[in-house]
Amino acid sequence: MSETLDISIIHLAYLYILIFLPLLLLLREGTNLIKDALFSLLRMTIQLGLVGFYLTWLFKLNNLWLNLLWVVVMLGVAAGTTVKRANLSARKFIPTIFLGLLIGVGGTTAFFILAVVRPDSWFDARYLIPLCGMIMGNSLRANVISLERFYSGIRNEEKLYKTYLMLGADRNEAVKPFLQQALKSSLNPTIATMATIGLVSLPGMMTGQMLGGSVPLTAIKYQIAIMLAIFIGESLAVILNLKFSIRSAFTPFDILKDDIFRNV
Amino acid sequence: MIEFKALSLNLNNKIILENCNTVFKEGDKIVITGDSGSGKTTILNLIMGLAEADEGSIFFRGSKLSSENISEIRKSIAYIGQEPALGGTTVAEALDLPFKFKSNRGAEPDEKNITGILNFLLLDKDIREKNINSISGGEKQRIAIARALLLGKRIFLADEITSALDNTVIKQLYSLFSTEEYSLISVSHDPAWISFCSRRLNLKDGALTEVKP
Repeated sequence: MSETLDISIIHLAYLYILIFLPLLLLLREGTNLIKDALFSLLRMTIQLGLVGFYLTWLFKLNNLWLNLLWVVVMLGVAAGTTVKRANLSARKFIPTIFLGLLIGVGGTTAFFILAVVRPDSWFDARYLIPLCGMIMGNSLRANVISLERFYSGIRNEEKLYKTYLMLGADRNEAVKPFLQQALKSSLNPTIATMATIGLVSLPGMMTGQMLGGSVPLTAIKYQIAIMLAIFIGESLAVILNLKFSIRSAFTPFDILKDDIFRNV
Repeated sequence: MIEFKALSLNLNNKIILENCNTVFKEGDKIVITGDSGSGKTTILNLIMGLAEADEGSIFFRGSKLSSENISEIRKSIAYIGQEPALGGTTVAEALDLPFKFKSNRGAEPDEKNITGILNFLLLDKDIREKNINSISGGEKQRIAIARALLLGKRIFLADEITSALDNTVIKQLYSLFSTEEYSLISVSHDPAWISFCSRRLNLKDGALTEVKP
């Protein structure tokens, strides 16, 4: 198979020119999206540019400890982003969410590489970084939704939660309906994606592999594998993060603590 | 039955209780009165372990309220608020809900028991088919009371329950709670309810004082 055709900077710039067409149309419609769109475009360009340089360096060195450090940094940033977006206290939850992601995402990535891909070196940056990144990205979204739904659900329906306790439920039984709702909301998008993948759109990883010169069948096998890994990783991380966080979120009398939220 | 020992609680820089010592005896019919916002409902929450005191202790039948015994204590107590949260989708599901929990398994009531209690509370047995969002606040209160009776609870904490109930239902409650086996700790502004209760405690500026009839 042939190598991927490189894109020159000049040719890439054509798309930056073309983007003015939708921007002009948006401007004509009187939306105030222009400023946000331009700001996001700038951020995307700078972020990906920097990551491009960094990954080039990381791929070249391909050092065990540097690669693992990058994974740890990704886990840390994901844990921080999760508590912030789920409106939870960083001090109380970052350590447990880090642990949940480490087991859920880190464990699934390790299994994927060691048992499925089986490259010559297990820490090869070419596999470790993108695979961990893909599983982590999906887990991040699912964890934000699950934690936010779970804790805001109990807070918004505090009366119902306390009624369960008064009717003889232990803490696990009283949180169960809120846990089920959080799991449904967070995992449904991935379940829906699995059901329609390939029919509605060709997924990014598969497209990327085919552009990179892989035969469609290899690309599809990778895509199936990554979808399974994403579902396994995010489900594990979501369940573990909910279970781990519950331990520090309630008083000994099973009442939700006020100080677990970022904005009380 | 329930004893407050040197109990103090501040909420949002407001004194709710200050060094309070009170005993609620088995079979007592108590009403707590006081201005709105004085913390009457908080006292009920303290008894149920749903609020925690800053200082002092609460004893239930001689045992100090703790994380070890709070589930057992909650099992003995029924709380009926102004607009109870019932859970479930239909009234039947709401009535059945507590029997799904481990601690109540095996204690499921039979049909005769259910219809008997619904009749006593002047509820049509067909109400069980209704969606809980379609029934009135007063009906919700009666379902909550029915559920507590089905669970065999004997200690009732009632928070302003007469506001949504009509007189015929209130009379039924008087006949229920006047028996010795039921203990009642209530919060009310209703003069008729206050005169029904055998003890009245007034809460003012953190002090819970006995009001002699």
